[in-house]
Amino acid sequence: MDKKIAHYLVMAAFRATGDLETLLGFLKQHCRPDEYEKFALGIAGAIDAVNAGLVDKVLAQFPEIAGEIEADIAKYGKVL
Amino acid sequence: MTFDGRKASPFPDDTQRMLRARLGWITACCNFETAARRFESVRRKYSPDQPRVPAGNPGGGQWSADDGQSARPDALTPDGDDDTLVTEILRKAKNLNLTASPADYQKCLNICYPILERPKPPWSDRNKYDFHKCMNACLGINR
Repeated sequence: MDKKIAHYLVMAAFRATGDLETLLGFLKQHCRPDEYEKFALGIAGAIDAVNAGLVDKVLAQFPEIAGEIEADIAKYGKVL
Repeated sequence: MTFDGRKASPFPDDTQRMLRARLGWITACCNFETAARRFESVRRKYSPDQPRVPAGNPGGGQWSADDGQSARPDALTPDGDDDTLVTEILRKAKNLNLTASPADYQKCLNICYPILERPKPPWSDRNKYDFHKCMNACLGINR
């Protein structure tokens, strides 16, 4: 894998988990707290699975990308 | 901005208190984990059966050079003792299971998921990345 693909992979991972993060806010507004907690943990687990399965593997291969992600998020609030 | 020039927190007071409490919990966990690893490292190094230099010799009582290398799976020949290899793999798996059990994973999720609740624009990746860092910090090297 070259670095360009690694970047693409990280962005795809963040896009994929973005929907789940949005769902979290929606559920918090519309579910009972006990229901919400149950789904929130499930959503967090799903997001973590994507992070561990994709982002961590990319960062293990290209550690310098972590700094680039940090810089992008600090400057733009998102990975570009 | 607050009156003393600090940037105002985007969180209500009760959320700030909860985050501070969780942060304290993570710190306590990290300290405990470090101590446990140190203990485990010392425990593994100690073996009452490891050969020592006999008394009366220079360095008597010290561990001898034979550190049991021959019993390690990576020292096995292709026809080596499969049972030793399986035992070693099982020991490692058991250690991993003890240090990153499903219960620990749930604890980490419990600690970290409020990060995902911070109000942020829908396009922002900040919460997801901070959550990622939190889970890795919580689970440590046993990820």
